[in-house]
Amino acid sequence: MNTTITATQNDDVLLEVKNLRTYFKLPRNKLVKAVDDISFTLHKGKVLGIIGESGSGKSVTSRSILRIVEEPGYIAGGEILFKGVDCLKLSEKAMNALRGKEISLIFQDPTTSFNPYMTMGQHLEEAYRVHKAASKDTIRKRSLDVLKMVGINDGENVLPKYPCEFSAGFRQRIFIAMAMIFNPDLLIADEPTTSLGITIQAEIIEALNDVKRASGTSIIIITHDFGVVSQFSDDIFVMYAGHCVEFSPKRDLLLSPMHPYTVGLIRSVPLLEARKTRRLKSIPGFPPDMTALPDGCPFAERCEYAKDVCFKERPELLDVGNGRFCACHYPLKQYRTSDETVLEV
Amino acid sequence: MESKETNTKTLESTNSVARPKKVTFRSIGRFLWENKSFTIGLLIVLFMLSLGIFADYIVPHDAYNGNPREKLLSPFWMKDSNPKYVLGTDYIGRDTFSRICYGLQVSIIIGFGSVAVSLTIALVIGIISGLSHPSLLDSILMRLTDVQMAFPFIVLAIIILSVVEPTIGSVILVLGLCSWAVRSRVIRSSVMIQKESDYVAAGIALGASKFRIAWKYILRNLLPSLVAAIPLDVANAIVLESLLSYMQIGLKPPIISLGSIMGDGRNYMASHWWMTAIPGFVILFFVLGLNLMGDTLQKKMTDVSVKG
Repeated sequence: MNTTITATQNDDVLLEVKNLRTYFKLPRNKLVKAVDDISFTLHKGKVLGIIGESGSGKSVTSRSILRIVEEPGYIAGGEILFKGVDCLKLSEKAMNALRGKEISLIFQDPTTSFNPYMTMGQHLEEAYRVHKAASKDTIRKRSLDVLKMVGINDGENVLPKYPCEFSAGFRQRIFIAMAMIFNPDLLIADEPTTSLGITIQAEIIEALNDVKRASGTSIIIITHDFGVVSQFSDDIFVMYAGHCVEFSPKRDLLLSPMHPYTVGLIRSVPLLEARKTRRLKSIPGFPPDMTALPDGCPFAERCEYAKDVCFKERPELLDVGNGRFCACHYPLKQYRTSDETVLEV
Repeated sequence: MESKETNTKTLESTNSVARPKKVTFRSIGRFLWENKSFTIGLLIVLFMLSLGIFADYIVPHDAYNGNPREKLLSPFWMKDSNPKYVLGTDYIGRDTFSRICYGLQVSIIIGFGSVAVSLTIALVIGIISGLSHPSLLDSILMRLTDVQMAFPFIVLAIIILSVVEPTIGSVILVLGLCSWAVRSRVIRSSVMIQKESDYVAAGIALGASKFRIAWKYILRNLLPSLVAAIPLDVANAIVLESLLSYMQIGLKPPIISLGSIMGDGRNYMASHWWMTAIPGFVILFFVLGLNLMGDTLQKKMTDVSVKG
């Protein structure tokens, strides 16, 4: 693929992923191309939302950036330029120095992401233990600061307690605080709200927003929920079967999606306050078998607009103007989402 | 920044879910009252430990040299007894009670020593092979464990002890080398489960080194189950040591072991059964006490790690 989503202002670029490919080797010589030829750019202080169904390669993308893809997965090729340095060429030691200090990862399920035998204070201290020594007072002060950043004002009471003493939402706040200890330049939130209740989801998004405003950190937020990305991401990156199908500024994507898959995703968002009663439309069929992807467009079988060429040739990600990219033989130029479909844009 | 101030709700940590109890005398008392089998086991073990540890101060007679004129006396409740010898004397007139105290001392040293050896081996092999799981190293270590498990304990003990002099140190090594296999399997599987857990992934994403992951994250979470395993393993080691001594392939005189006291009574079993039975009951109760403790600990500790 020749087209990459290139940066317009180069000095502003924090992360540039070029043609990233992460494959998983399965027994009997099967190969799963979990992430296949993905490129995107993240500017300083911006929020990128990666959206897609389960198994579309969202989490693998985030783990590839940190280079913590688990066996039997491996990064087969591409470049990950973080501040102009290719992470894939760094030594493991140099990579360890980035992890947790300049790039932090927030996990999906806060009930399992804490070590049950460590207090919250020890968890917050852990980053200092790994990266640089500091006096107990400094660590404590910084811990209380980051806890304030996520809206926890009585940090003194939180530090000596164990993870089991907090609710899931509260733990997720603390996890965000942990990720912010060294003010990383990039925060990757891997489905940070998926395992939480709906009101807590809003609180966590608000906390992430606070963190972003206070520190200017760039955020990659991975989700399968349009409600989450629509609230605070700048750009949206739609993934399907390991491929990028659409990349676009948020507003454009939500108002006039071009890829039929994006349209399907937006249509399947339930709305309680819809003006007209509207049946919830789901995308027919299932995601393709990742061990045997078709030659053509991976979405063709489920696509209502698919024509012959869609089954034969894989569409390339093409620049369609206005900073928008779409991988479709017949991008929808005219499609407009109806008013009630558009969430808070 | 201004909007941040207004946005931030004051969150208090009062929405905490469960508070682990502080350890006080009261809470210890309640624990002992609620877990009576643990308490009984603890009392038996403490009694045995104090007999063994303070043997030098409490033995009434010379345990090594007897008085042949007072040999084969019965314990106090039988008619042919001498009030000087509470549990009677053996075939050369040595006080059985004194000998049991020293035997306990040896059993305690060997029991805890061999568990320290076997747990160390099991931890090293279990953690290394668990962490390197789908690898050649893991396969080699696990085949080694298979060999160890397939080898009968007695045969291995006879082989080793016929080559090296059976001293307390060598018996500790033999028992340690014979009992790590099962533990290392258990540790390996637990490491493999933890390796997949999110908090280990969180540690890796934080940039922690492999060694730090093994030490701070994985070993720390293994501790509860290890603590629970110690009493059970010690009990096992004590039984095995007595067995070796009884069969006269273990410790040699003048070192006294509970097993060798039983062995001494073997030829007199028909007429003087208590010479074998009394040290046997001491082993029985010691092991029973350790097992009662171990069972409760195992139940409690696994509860904790499941709740996370």
